[in-house]
Amino acid sequence: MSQNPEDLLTRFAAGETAAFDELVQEMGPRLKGYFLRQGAQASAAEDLVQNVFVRIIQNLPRYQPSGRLDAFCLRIARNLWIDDRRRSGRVYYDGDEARDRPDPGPGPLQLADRGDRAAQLREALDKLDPETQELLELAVLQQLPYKEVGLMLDIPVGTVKSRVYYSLRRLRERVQELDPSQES
Amino acid sequence: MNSQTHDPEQEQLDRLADELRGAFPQPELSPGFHDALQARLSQSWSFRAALQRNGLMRVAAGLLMISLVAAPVAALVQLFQEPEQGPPTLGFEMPETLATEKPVTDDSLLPAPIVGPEDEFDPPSTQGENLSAAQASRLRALTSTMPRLGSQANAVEPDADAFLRFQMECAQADRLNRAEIAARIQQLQRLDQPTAGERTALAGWLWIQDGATATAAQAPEAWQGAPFVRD
Repeated sequence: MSQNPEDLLTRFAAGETAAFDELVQEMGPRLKGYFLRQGAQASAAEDLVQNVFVRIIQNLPRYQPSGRLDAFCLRIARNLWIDDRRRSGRVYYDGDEARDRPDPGPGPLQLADRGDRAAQLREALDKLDPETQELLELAVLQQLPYKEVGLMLDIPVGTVKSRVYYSLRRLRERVQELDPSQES
Repeated sequence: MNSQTHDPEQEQLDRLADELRGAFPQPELSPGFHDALQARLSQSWSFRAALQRNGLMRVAAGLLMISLVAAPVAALVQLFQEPEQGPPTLGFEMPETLATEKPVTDDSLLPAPIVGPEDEFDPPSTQGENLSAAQASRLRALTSTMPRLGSQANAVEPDADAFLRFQMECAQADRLNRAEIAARIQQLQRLDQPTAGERTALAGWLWIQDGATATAAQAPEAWQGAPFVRD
């Protein structure tokens, strides 16, 4: 984020409405990416992002700037996603936007993209188990500190570090399986 | 990545992590996102803010919540509460001119009492005066000896009908009251030539009413051993 993220909510709570717009600009796309990678459709992902901001506003009087604001937002997003899946009993699969969420099976487009390194990485990540995907999402894609990841997933920091290490190795193996000619 | 190390394996994985981030470009928010968010926020914010700012709003909301809860709760309480009073007594107020008239003394002028079939077969137990504790106790004692006495009567006594009636009436002890017992006694006493069974029934009713026992001579042989027959 462009500046100390804690300041944004503190400034907004103090009456500076522009701070909230800045927060939406900074965190909106990140949160949308998070929901899309979890499997939400594009429209549902934006609904969920809006819910995150509504929840932030509702909890503003109780907000304590003790941690990182992006971790705070992602924690709300994660809880909303879990609630949403539990409530609806279904998963939002995004079959239309292959860029955001490639299909698990190698379709014609995937086969054509096999030469594309980015496509290989997306496909390889998609083949990992959900727990590993979530860990890489928070620690690698969202770049949260291990401490915040540990708090969110309720595991010790050391465990987060070792799991990230082995998860990346597994990801590299999957990429090599997809295209044995390449070597990382 | 979070760690800095010179381990070549770790460096490779760090590069992989960078590549992975690059593989997922940040999606853009749709053009209507900000307006939709603003609408949702103002919707939730205006109500909350109004509640927080305006004390009167808080009171009104509180009263609304109480009334919403109170009405169904009161209905439920009313539903499950047992009535404290009996049904209201129906009646009418007699006009003053009729109420002050001299009461009619000639029974022939009074309308005949209406006795329906339900009164004949199921007389109300509250009619007349209830039996005293001693009378009820004697009635129960007599009822308990009825099976033995009944078979004795059938075997020896040629005319057991009166006693059998007596037996049946005793069995309906909960429907008997003093007036009914007195009426039966009077009926049996009016007989010119009572049979042995009728004499025994009379002795039984008298015993229930007053506790008076009959002598062995007064009761036929078949009723010897009954509680109302003196040894």
